[in-house]
Amino acid sequence: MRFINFIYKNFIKLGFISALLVSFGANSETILISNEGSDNITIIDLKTYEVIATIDSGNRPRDMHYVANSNSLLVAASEDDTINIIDMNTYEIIGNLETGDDPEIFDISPNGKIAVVSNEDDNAATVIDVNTGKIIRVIEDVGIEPEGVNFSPDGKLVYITSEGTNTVLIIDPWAGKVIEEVLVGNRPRRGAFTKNGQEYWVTNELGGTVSVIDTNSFKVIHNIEFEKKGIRSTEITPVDFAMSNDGSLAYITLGRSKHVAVVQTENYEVIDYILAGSRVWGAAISSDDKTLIVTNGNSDDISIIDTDKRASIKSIAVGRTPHTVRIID
Amino acid sequence: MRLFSLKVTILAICLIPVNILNAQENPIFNIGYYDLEEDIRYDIWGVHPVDIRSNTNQLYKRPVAGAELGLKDIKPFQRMSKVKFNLVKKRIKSNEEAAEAVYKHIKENNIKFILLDFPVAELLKITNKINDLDITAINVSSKNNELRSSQCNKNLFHTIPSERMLSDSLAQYLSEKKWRKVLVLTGPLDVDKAKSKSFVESAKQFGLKITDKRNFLLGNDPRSRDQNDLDFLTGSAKYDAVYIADTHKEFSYRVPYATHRSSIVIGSSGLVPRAWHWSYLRHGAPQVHGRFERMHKRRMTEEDWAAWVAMRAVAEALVRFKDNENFSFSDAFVNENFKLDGSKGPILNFRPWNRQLRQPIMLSTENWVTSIAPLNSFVHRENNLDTIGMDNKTSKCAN
Repeated sequence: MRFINFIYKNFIKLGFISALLVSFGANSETILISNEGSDNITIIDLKTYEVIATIDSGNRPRDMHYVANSNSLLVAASEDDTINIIDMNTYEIIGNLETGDDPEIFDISPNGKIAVVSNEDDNAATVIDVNTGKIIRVIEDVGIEPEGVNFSPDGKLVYITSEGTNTVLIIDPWAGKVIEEVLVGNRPRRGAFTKNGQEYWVTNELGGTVSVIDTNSFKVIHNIEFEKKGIRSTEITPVDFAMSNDGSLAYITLGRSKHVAVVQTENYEVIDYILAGSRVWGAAISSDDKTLIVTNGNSDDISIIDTDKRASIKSIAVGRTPHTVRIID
Repeated sequence: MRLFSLKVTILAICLIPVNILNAQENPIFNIGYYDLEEDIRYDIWGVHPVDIRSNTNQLYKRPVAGAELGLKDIKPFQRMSKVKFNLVKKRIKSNEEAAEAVYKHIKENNIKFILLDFPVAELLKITNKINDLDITAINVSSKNNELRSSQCNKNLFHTIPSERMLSDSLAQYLSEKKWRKVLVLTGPLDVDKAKSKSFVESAKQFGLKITDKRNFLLGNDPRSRDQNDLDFLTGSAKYDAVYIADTHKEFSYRVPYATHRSSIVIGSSGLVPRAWHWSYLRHGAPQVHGRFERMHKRRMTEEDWAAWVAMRAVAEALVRFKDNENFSFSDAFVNENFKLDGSKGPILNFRPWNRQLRQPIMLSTENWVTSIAPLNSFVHRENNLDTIGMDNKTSKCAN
């Protein structure tokens, strides 16, 4: 009887899920995960949390950006020294962008014309013409082990974090010039602009802090520190950001501490810490700010976080060593 | 010497990228690097027409190579430190003149910061001799425990781990694996004896049992086969692991898979505790290995790493603390906000009581890092890195 009950309940559940698929399938958001250890991309439905597909990429896929007008996904394939262009209708690799050696993180200009990628092994940044897929220029000497790359919202400048030099380099990718260099904390990994574009936040993985740079003066105006009872300061290793779309909150993954910090952008106050998985790295937030997705590099899964409850509600197994997460329409 | 600095200046000007905002002239900051021509640790042995080690090309292994990579890596810091880094290298001819020669060279070249690659005896003589100079030194190769426990010097820092840090790391690993019975084999050199002594102390601290201590000799003399034949040397004893202390490594290389009982081998071969190993793939280490191998065409050793990270320490101190009142390297290094990135995981800093760089230790085979110490189950009241090596309770220098 119990068994029959079980079947019955799950049958209802299944029916419910299919109904959801029908009603939301057409326009719901999709989660994309690059798995650098298993050389593929996991695609998950944000509403049902079902894995829709696992698609092959080049070797060691890391950063990804979605290009809406061509419905294609650009994926940095670090070991292949290229950026794959994946057609999201067919899930096939339809082309590649030249990148130079070992591309890890890249960004595309707001007008879609150029991409800038950091070449960790060459201490350089490469500027690529997105339409032709060819390298336009290489900007040398952007510090040791450049990593994070972000276009300023106006598209004029690119901010690059240099892990080995503990600085952020601000470059003009159109002219190929270094404009300014700003000293931040130890091992700066990634950056993110606040929604109003007035500030650039940088995670200092080994310093255990976030530096806030004023984008007008290029000065560090604040350092955000993290402290939670039961976690040693050496475990706090900030890596990635998700800025809420309403501009009020920043979610910051804290690596080894297994937590995600919730920070108010207006006063830099850390208001909560959410438990996620082992070595929590990548982060992305849904367009309605309700769901935060983080990748757990050491447990080969992602955590789905309800931002109202500020708690993980589900974890989903993905490929080996999930790196970047993106949410697309 | 004036001619020399002029050349360096011209070279450096050529290297400055044109796109930097203010290309004004920064003063040159000389970093001295001293080592010894006749250094037994860098003796070359076992060179064979078809050298078995040629794939890793490890014959020339002086850590000055690490300092050279370090110099290249800290050049980008020059924009922030406002000085132009320069490495002045000097190889001392004989150990008798070491202290005098280093002293004279430092004075003549107005050097404020030096890296020292010397065996412990010369190192002590040099640091005593230069004590009256305004200078900070980093030891990049001597692992001697006394330098960190009773013979400390306030101006001598150590980026290479002590023997005790290495032997504690092994002892933690054996303890966690519950391989508690250990046979200890010791070579004829003083450094071998010091290594063994350190391991015996670690074994005691972490609850291992030393079942026997024996001395080995390299040779084929049938009259001393109890010391040169592995079946005799490792026979009639009970053990889970054989620890071997052999600085030259010529004997220890033949011990794994050749012990009387089936057993792991640790220490100078088998599972070896090291500050750094080229096979480590995390925490940005592959980027450092890659830069080193492209520059020097060989694997990066732990001494190379110690010299490389010492160069990074100079840059880090200048960039973050140069504006402090009465700036000195010694003060900056023990400042609680001093943070050094050694590309092996956690942030590194110096123990104030004995000037030793805290750091994780890689327990490695010839081609893989098997484990990293401190192991997770060993916890310290302040900093888990202090579960390996002499903490402020055990080092006599703390008082």
